[in-house]
Amino acid sequence: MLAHSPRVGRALMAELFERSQARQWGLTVEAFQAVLEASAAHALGARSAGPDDVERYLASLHLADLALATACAAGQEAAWETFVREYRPILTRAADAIDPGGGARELADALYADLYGLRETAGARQSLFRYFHGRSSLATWLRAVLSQRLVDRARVAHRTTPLGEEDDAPLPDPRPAAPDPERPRFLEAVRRALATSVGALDAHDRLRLGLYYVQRLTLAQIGKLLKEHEASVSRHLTRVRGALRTGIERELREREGMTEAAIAECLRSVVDDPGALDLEALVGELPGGKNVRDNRSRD
Amino acid sequence: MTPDSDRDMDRLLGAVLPGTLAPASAECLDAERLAAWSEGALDSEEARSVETHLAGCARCQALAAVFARTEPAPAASVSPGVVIPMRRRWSMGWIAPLAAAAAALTLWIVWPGRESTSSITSAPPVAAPSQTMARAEENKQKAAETEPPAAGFAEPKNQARTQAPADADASRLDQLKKDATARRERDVAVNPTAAPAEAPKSAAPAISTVAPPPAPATPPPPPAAPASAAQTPAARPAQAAPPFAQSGQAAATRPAPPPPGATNEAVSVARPELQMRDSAAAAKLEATVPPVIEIVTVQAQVLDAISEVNTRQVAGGVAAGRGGGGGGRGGGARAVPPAPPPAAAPAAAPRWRILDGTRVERSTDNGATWLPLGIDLPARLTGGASPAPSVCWLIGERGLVLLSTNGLNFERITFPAAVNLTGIRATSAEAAAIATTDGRTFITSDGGRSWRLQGFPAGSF
Repeated sequence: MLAHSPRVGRALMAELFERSQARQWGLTVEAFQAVLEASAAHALGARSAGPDDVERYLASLHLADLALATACAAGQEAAWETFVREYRPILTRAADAIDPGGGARELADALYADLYGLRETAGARQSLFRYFHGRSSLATWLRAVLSQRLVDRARVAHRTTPLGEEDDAPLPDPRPAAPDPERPRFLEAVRRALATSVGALDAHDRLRLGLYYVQRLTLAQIGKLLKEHEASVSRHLTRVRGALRTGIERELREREGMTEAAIAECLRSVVDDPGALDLEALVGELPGGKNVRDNRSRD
Repeated sequence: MTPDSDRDMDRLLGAVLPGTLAPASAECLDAERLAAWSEGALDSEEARSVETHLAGCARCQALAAVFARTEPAPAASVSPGVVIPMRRRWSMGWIAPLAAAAAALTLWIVWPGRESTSSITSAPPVAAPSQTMARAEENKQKAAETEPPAAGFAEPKNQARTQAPADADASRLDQLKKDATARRERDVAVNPTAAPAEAPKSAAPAISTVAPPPAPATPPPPPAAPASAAQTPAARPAQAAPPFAQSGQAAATRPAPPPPGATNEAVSVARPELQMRDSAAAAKLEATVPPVIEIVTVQAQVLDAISEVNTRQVAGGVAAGRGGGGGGRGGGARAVPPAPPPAAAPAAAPRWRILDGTRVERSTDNGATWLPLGIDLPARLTGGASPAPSVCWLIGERGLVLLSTNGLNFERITFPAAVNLTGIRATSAEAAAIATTDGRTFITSDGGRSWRLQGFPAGSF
């Protein structure tokens, strides 16, 4: 039930019910109304939403998918047949896209048990479908659920090793380490400058950087995710990279009092082995004196 | 900003940014919010909140990345899953372009002729070769247009992963390259066929990984020194069929399917365009996949006979020293008379055909009637091979390999690379060699239970 809005009006409910074609799955208007209200409460519950907001929200839902998911959650056989016929290939393709070796298919297959709800609570099956509220298409939601399972599995597998750590472990440097008395000072200076520059970026730019440099997505994949053309992604990355470079150089020049030659030497020294940067300290020294991790978590 | 400084920044960012991400928290995204955000279904405030969180959360960024990878790419894609170590991606990232270039170069040199008794049964109405070349050029230009000047970012797929991020660890990459070079040299010393430049020789179990140069009215200039010895496509007369799967372009030069019973090597549709870096251009060229690919049975001994003929032709051409036209192996092959048509397959041998890359049909009456086979295809098919009447291999995009040993039911075979497959040569239900768009050739001798990369020892995968 919505906390800040009235129940869905009868006329609107009738229209939504009709559009959802929920009748073909044997759902009643009352049952589907409860699902819609639960969806609205889930999405808008924390906000003060008026009737217009609720109506707009409900009208934006993928009603047919929601009806199908609701019927599947209820164990409706025809709905399950439809679901398996129409969505199994989608799940299979998604799994194969991630891991053509078949490793992800296992997880995709395992999803069916959770979607059906083999576990019971208080005598009722706990179907995974109850988390689908129709805000996206069912196909996209299934891809997201599969992705979630994959990431969680990877995190469990690497519980003692944070994601990406093994990927980024530097190889032993075959070159003999040249002692550089200035190196500690350079590292510290670049660390501060980079912290300032990265912290000055907006979230969208940081997201692009992360998807490219950390997650190693292609420009096309980033573009698709962020609804940008890949050429735009490229331009933005180029711009941000240039801005970071400029920001670092400015910080070194103004805050550290370095000359152009000293800046070049400093960057060269650090770039040769950036792994020595104190990253924990880096993220903790953003402008405003706040810890970026805390900020990002709360955002 | 100089290219060097760009690379320096790439290295710095590649090393530093992972450490700037926060661990998972109670604010992390659930599947529904991620899905709704990806579809643009969130209001602006909530969408901004999601993006802000994504920008700083390691777990959710990884989730978004995996989610992005669940969407099957329209064209060749090499981005592996999140759990694949970066080092492996680096190594394959630089090997792939080299292998593709070597394969294309050697095919140019030794291609034994495309106007011969074909090993391809279909006559797909693909674009004319000259159009294909023009389109390839056009797409190269488009790929170039998407690249910002001196930025190095606009390189999707393989290149994107081997440029800026690769620069982030150039020393590591250099070391890997040295190791791989040393390994290749060792392989060559042990097995000469492992050398990329020699791979496509007839006797080697190689496959046409890319389309050979088509026969345009004005043939493209042959590449550099080795190509000077090659015969230009337009100058080649009809020759024996090559023993391996050929390209769609080659098929296009044949006006009609062969008469019933004629044996033919099965076939794949090579799409050199897929090697292009611009994914949009590659996607556009999806339309060049022939609507019909027909597969008929070719016994292994027929393949061997064809291979032997080609070997003799190539050897004879080299021995003849070649006169006119540039000399070399390709030119030598011109002097050799065309190979006799291979022995006919049994009249009742089944055939298969692939329609639009999405449906498979089978005929047991020499193509008079076709019955659809209900196969769940996770990706488009690009070709196939039938080494025996009851055996059929099918290949497709994103590492799709299917095998039937009764001619009716197909089983998915696990393939070690998520790349588009362009060619297959099979001699039994156990032995097959499959070529990929990035120029690699994978070989199995146990029905796909294990694969090895051509030129590498068994157990590579």
